[in-house]
Amino acid sequence: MLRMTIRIVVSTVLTLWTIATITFVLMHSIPGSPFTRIDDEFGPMIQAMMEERYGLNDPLHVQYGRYLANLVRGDLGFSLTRPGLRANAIIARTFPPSARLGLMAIALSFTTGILLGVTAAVNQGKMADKIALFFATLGITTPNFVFATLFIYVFGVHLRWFPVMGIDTPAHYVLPLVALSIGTVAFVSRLTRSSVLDVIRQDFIRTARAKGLTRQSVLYKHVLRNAIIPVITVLGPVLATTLTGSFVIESIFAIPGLGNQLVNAVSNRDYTMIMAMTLFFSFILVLGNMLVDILYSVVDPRITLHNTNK
Amino acid sequence: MYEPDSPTIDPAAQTDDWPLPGDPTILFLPMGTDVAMLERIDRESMSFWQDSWRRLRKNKLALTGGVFVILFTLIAIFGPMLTRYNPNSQQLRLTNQGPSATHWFGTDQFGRDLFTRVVYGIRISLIVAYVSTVFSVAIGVTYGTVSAVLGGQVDNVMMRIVDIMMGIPSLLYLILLIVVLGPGLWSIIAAFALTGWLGMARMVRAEVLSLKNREFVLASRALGTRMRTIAARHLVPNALGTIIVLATLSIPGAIFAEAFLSYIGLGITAPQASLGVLASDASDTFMTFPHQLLFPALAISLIILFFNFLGDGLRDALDPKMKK
Repeated sequence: MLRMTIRIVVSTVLTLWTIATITFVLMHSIPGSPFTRIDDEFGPMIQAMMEERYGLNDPLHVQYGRYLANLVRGDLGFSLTRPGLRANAIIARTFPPSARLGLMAIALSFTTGILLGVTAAVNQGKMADKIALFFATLGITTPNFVFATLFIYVFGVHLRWFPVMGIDTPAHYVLPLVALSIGTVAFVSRLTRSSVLDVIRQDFIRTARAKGLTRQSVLYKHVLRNAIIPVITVLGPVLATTLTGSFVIESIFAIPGLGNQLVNAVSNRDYTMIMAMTLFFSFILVLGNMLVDILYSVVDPRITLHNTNK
Repeated sequence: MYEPDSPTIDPAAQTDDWPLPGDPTILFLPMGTDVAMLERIDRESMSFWQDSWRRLRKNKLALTGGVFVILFTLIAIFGPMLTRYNPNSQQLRLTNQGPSATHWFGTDQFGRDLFTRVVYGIRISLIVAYVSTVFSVAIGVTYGTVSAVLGGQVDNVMMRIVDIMMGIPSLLYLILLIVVLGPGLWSIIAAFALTGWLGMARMVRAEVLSLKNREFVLASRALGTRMRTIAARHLVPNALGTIIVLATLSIPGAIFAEAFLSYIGLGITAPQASLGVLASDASDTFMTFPHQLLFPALAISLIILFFNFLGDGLRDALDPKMKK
């Protein structure tokens, strides 16, 4: 258990360092200096001053060392297009709404997905299974911005059931939440279905039924407990898709969140902000995955077997 | 399924010719060994690929997927012959038209024929998906095979590198890569290839490791074949099933990722337009002209759907072990 944890932590730290290094290399391979635009507006002297001020004339390894030291202290730099604003301040302001939306979406994805999957598996081959398959296929094959646009059109503009801009009231959350989780619901429901079908055929289920337990009690106490383990292992990938999905969803629904900021930074070519947010997102994802990995090995000792690479 | 012929006993014949009880020489006759019978081959022997094709042929969903994948590929290649419009020529008097006999899918906000644009969009999207998959397969197969063949410490280090890179969220790094390379067809393909090979490398390594110690490899080594030749002639061809399945299943992912990138403004640049670009452009005008989103979105969904059907079917046919 302890060895496992140490191994996970070490590989996480290595991953974080690799991410930081790749980001540094990529950002320094952009031709020209980040102040080329300033050069256009104010002339080469100002540009030289700016470069001096931000230490861009130092040798690369000095810059790299400073960059890593700043990262360790949690300093992500400044915004290029909004002078005086630090990346940390922007992230601190925009992260809470994103985190709220994301966590709710993950909760919704898993509850709805597992419910749908179990229903489909229990009614294998019947109408309920086919309907679930239809919606899952729809969810897996359609990009989320198509859903978001459709929802705004149908439920926002046409039926006027829900507001479509911002996140001022709980009703504002409904459409973005559904649009953000629909793909993951589909994914989780398919996975749950096949996992439940796997477990249902096992001998110990037959034994439980033979003992005279009711269908309900076998389903909840025996089947679900075992079937849910492979479903929970996709928490990491689901975290990632929800996060990247939020870029699109937040910008469609005008939610003042981190994903929206990233899309803006991309369209403004605000390199330092893109870098800062990519780092922040990656760190969240990697640390989230680390926690999840450690939790699994606590919850189910069998899972360590899958993690060894042999 | 082989079933032995059950002996047929005629009840009427039994009464007359029934042997006398207690005469073992008549009761038990030795079968004898008919060598010709034992060595007989009942049916033609089947190669791995024939066997897989037979399994695939039974799977209707996979066949449908395969047919439509070929159809979409043909549209991508010969599509421009189906239309008399240029995808980029603007007719400003005919903007935002609905579907009609002259413009099957209607026109967009610049009066460009939407059917033509969707056809060209399929072409661009499939080019991105196919070419990036070819590159990531090439990198992944080489890396995985080298790692498995060399083995030992080298394998260990090479796989640790893959593990670490797998931990990096790929979609985020796609964004960063494309910001650095500048958006465009080739930088998207390069970015997909650079982030897509990891899974392939891991699977191919596992496959090659299990093949490496089989008897036919031992025989080949005993005959003095160099390891490099064995890898190219025996190991990779035997892992081809897994490779094909993974490649097919990675194509929907590429199309999806391309649509996502288009939406955040990092997709294919004008004048070229992929399906993702068409769909994301149309979502701005969706409130007034829903058909402009409908057709590109439908094309994306169908392509992803049919590739998934085909990929799942291929997995069941080529690699029954992988079946979930």
